[in-house]
Amino acid sequence: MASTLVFYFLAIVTTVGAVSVVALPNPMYCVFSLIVTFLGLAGLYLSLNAQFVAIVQIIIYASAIMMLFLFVIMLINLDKEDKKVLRIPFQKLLGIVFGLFVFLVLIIVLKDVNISVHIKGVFTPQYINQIGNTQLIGKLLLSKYLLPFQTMGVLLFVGIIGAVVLGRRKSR
Amino acid sequence: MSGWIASLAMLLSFLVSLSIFFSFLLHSPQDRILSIFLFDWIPFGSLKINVGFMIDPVSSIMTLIVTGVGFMIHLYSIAYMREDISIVRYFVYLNLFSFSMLLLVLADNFLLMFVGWEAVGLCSYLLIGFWYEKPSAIEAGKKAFIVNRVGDFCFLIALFQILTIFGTFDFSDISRSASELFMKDSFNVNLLCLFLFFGAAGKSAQFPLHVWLPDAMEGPSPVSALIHAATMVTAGIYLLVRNHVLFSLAPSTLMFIALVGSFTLLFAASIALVQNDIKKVLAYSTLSQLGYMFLACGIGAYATAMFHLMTHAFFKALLFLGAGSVIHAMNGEQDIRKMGGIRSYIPKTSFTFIIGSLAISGIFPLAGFFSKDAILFSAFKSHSLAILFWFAGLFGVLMTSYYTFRLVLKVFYGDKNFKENETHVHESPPIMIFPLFVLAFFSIVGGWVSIPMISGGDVFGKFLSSVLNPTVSVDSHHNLTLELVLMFLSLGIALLGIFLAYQTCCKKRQFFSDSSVVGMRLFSLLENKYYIDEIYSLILVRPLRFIANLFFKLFEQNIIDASVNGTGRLVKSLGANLRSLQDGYVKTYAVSILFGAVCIIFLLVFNFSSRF
Amino acid sequence: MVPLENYLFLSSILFVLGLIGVIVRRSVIVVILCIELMMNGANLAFVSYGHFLNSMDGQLIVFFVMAVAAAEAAIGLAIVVMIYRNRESTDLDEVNLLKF
Repeated sequence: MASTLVFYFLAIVTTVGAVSVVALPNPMYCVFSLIVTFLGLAGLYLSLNAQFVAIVQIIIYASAIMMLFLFVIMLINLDKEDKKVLRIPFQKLLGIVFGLFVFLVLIIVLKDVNISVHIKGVFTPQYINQIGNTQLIGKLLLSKYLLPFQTMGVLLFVGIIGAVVLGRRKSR
Repeated sequence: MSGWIASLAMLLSFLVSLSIFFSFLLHSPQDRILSIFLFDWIPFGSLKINVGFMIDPVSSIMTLIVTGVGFMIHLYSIAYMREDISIVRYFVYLNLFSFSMLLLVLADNFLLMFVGWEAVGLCSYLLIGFWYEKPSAIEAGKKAFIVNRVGDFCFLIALFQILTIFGTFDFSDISRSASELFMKDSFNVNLLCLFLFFGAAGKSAQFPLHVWLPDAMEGPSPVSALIHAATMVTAGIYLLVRNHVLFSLAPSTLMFIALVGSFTLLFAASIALVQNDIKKVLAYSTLSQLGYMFLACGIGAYATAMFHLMTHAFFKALLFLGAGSVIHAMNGEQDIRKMGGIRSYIPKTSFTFIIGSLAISGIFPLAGFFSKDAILFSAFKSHSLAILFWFAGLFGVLMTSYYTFRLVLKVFYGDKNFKENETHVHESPPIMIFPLFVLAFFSIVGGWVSIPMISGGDVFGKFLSSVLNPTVSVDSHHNLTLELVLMFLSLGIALLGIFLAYQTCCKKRQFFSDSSVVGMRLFSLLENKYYIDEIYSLILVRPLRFIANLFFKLFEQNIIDASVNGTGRLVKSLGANLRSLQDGYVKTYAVSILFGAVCIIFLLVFNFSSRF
Repeated sequence: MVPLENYLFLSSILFVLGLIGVIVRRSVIVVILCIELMMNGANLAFVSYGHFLNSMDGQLIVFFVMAVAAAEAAIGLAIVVMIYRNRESTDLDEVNLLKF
């Protein structure tokens, strides 16, 4: 009962935040809305017994990445979007229609999935809590998912260098 | 150089034909046939059409004429066309024509003959329009080909009928089975023969398909001699003679043929009375003589028709070559009103020309006398209506001698209607004179192969008797008396014609006074060729042009051009529209990628989901 | 116990909202933000599936997705900064040098 209420509350928060991201004209407000959305998502992750992911969501997404966005917005002095003439007529309407269509298909596909048939994994929530979520993730990262883990390192390394190179001012 | 090569080829062909002819003479009449099978051409189920040759006395005579007279004309042309830049093309066409004519004559089945038939029509077109810079020559060539086409169309229909009825195109098979498959004078056989005759009429220029022959005089004179006197126009006669078995089963058609022949005879001769161009007079003369030949076929005297064909080839070719010599002497002038008294300048030409004129008028003992007389005699005794034909033929004799000698007198005798110092009248070179003399010789002796008075004198008919039954027979004596009487009658009429020509041309006497309305009307009718060309233009040419124009505007421009151009425009606009996709805006590209990705995912979902 | 469909429903909503935002919005920054939104929708789906299938794979994949998202956001924003330096505007409708 309580979990259902919690879920619906978090869901509403997330959805409102997402809608605001899409709808608000001022980019700054969009960033803030997205932060709210991330926070809602973090709560949802918690309810799904993914504590590590939830915390990482807040630390990385909600703060680090969003701060990056804020810095860039301030750097380039972004204003509200002007009401100029749209190039494709009814662009907004077409976009919404297309989105609704995709939504419809997704719903049709994802409903009525009989999940209980496919449960094969061993990591039940009790088991996870026994070992500890973070510890388990750490263990798995360094054993089963070692290669992707190292690749991630390289990827981030490349990303840093790329960002520095791209953001550099031309030397005189 | 090319002329000598071409003439040599003709000479070799002539020698070969001569050898075949002599081998025929040595054999008995039943053996006088030579069949050569070359190869299978169109095997189609039960229908087998081959390429093969058949030579019997009739085709032997034809090949002799084609190669012999052709050889003379080739020699003549070497000098006549000497200064022409396209002389090579000329000899190519001439030889091609000879090949086609021989193919026509030697073919052993209808289809192969039709190939030769069409080919001679083509060569005629090419040679008439030889001087293609002259618009009148091109028009004449087109006219010849198109009018020929009408005849060929009828020939084709006849071919279809033959195929349906006989199932084969072979001449000997058809002749053999004709009497079994047809009832005498039934509608079918008459229809078939009628269509064959129309085909022949197109090629041999009988009324009403005669209009192309006078215009065909635009071509060089040797061409007129070869094609329009000796060979191509006789292809129609050959067709009739070759199928005489078929035609003898269709008496109604034969009557029709005789009628058309005699009508053309009189019609053309009347026009020739008032023409002023040398070659036009000779052209209408050819039409008239062809009428004689068709008349002979129509009354069943096929051997006589062949006889007249042969003699006509001699003297008409002679006359045309002589005319060419005159034109050459007068430096291109063809109007006889601008000539006169040139006999002293070109004695050899005038001598041979007069011989030819005597021959065509039917003066004893030259060739034309015997052949024409044979026709008249056959006409007289054929059947009840025959008197009319005989009378028409006789009147034709009068007109023939009149217009021929009008020509002779106006050109060679009388006052000089040209300025002597301006036109340098010169005799032709020997190589042009030699063929004239050869043809003149044959014009004299050529008729002596069928002399009815002497028993056994019909050598010609006997030669052909394996194929045709000769009609000039010497069996009964009272026929002989009748024949002699008729002979003298026709001779007298011919001399009367010459006398009348002398009166009007040299003594300047006139038949109709200048102010006579009837005379003037008649004169202009004749001079304008009975306005036939104008009538054709009104009934046929203008409506056709109108319809063609209509179709052009309606279909060609609006539909076909529109669709073709429209396709081009469509592609262009499609390209332009598609180009606008590449607008350079990143958003568009991103959205397109998104759209594509979503589509792919959907496809995967639908394929792998059990739900749908 | 909240059934799986609810989480998936929410995940679809987030994804589609992000999709609409990408198509509709004209400012580059906001488009990148909406892309992040789409990724988060997918993350939610991963984690919820992982939870309901008693598997840790979902969480681990989300871990990697977040790393990738961070790198990509950094590079993307660097590019945006460069564009701004070049033409004083970040309006996507004016970036059209890729024209034919």
